[in-house]
Amino acid sequence: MRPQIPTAMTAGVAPLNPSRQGEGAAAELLPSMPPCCRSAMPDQQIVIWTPGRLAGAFFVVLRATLTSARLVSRTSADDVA
Amino acid sequence: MTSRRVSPARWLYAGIVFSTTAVASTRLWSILRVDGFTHLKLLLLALFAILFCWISASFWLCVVGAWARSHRSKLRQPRGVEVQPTLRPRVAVVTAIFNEDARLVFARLQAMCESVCAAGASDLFDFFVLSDSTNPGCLSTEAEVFRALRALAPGRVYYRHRTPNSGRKSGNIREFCENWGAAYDYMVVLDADSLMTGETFVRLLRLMDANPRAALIQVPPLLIGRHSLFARLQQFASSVYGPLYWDGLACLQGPDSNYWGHNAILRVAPFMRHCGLPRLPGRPPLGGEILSHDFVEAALLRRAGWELWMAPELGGSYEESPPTLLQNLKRDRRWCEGNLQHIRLIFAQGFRGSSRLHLAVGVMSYLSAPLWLAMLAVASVETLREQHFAPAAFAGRFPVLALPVSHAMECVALFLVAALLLLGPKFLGWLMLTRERGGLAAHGGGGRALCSVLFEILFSTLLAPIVMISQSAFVASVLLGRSTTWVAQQRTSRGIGIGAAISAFAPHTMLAVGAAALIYEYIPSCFWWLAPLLAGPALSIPLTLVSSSPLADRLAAWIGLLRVPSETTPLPIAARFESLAGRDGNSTLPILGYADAAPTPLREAA
Repeated sequence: MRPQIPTAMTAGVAPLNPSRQGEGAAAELLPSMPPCCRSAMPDQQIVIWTPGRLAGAFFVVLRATLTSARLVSRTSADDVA
Repeated sequence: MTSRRVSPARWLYAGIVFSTTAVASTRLWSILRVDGFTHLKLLLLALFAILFCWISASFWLCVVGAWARSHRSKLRQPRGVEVQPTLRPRVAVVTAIFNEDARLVFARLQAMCESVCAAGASDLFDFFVLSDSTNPGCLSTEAEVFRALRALAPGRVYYRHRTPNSGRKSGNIREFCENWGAAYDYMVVLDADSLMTGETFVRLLRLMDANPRAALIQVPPLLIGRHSLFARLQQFASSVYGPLYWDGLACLQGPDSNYWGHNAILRVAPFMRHCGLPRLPGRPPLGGEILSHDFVEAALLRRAGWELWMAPELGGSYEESPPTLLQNLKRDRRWCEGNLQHIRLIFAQGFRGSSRLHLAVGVMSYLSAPLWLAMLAVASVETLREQHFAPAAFAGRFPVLALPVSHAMECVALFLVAALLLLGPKFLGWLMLTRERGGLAAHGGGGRALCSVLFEILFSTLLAPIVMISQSAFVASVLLGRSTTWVAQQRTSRGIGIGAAISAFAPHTMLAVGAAALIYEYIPSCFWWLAPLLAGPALSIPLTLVSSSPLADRLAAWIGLLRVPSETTPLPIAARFESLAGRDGNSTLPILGYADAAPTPLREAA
């Protein structure tokens, strides 16, 4: 059975959280759920490319581009000659 | 849960986009190869191919959207739209705020509450304002206005403030979910400037009930309600061109849609199970907290097998545009950092191809700016280099006459095709208005709507290079490791001062004037070709002042320029919000006036 919003909140009479009273206007009118009703949102695992791998891939592509550029350039120069 | 097969429509779309790019790139290759290739020419060709593919994808997406709008029944939608809910699900409508004008936030909230009550669904929706505010003035206003609203709507609206505000907006939503998420089946996430009609809330709820595999349905928000020329331009573009993009996306994406961070309904349980965002390794700006959380949450939900849909046909979903170019660029700076962070996530393990594409498109939205700038620079340098070659060649030691070959026609043809891809969607948007009943009338009539399209093209042509320069600077700043701070957005339609305009756009002006002088001196043949690109940045200061002016907006409204449907026939929910917030004439209503606002269906419902 899922938790319900406490009556105190639905009636809108929840007092300021005592721990926050000293924080001026920081009015927390909606108190936290009791621990039994809380549910955690676990951090997801995301396996990403590291900067090292990204840099490596970039240099591979760059080197390939420059190599092919030199080849094409030489070919066209030969054509002109 | 869903098939990983890419539908034939997507293959067809990709084929057309790449074919268009290939044809144009081949034409450029044939022009460049005549005098032999250089590294610069190869770089130019590569940049051209990437950027042509970018604008080609956008153009063909609009064509698909136009087709989809003409064949409504063929749109891929969640099934069982009309199924009535058998249970009584509970929905939390959450608005995360940070140092916003609370009077406007709660006025929107009350307008939406009343609309939900009018739709007969008041017992299904609870409204939450989740504050991360740090400004003491904002905090006291939030609490005060909340109490005023609670007096009108007992039991319907909740307010929570948290400290510390770790994780920014996604941390705010996460904290809500961990505390109260288990009490709800669905959650509608709104921005501080979002508006949604009660009917749309109910239809979203029914769609979720009818589609148990759907974890999210996004309703694209239409821009409304701002009073500056800049905002008017954005609102007109959103109204005329936006639907083409949205329908194109909805048609092609199907259950692989994306999440835009607000104006969407989410199934709470899978969101809580799969969308806890980790910190990225490394330091900001590319590491640390994930800033643009929405795309990543969508990717995580898709990775877990849930469906995500976009439903542009629902309507009734609105937000506001930044009122000035300067505010728009400030928002761009934040988005730029968040989107560039996604470079590291594009190849993350387990993400679906569609999610990788969403992340890549988000990155490219900002990376395209420096690429355009680089292409212009490379093309100018290459032209300059060519000019300084004598039209002669040598056969051994003897010079022979080499007649220069003109490529003017090929270049003009490429230019025209690029212009077609850029401007085509705008005219297509106007054409679609002519096909929709009342479409033209809602935009001021056929002639005015066409003039508005032409005016929008002129203005956006001037603004685009300004944005390009700014975004290039943002990209450079992020890649240099400079992180942005979290600041509240300006959401009122007041103009900006001349001092702010000069300090923000003096660099653009100097850059444009300097570039114009160099081009006129060294490659005068290109000057008039590049003049439209230089004009915007050179005039950026007066353009910003004019476009941010409410007076220019009123003048445009008076002559019926850039008129949008929400202006022709005011939306009840927007009118109610304007009335509650006292935004007529851009004044803000004191809290007492706000609390006294009437009529109040909520009071009756309570």
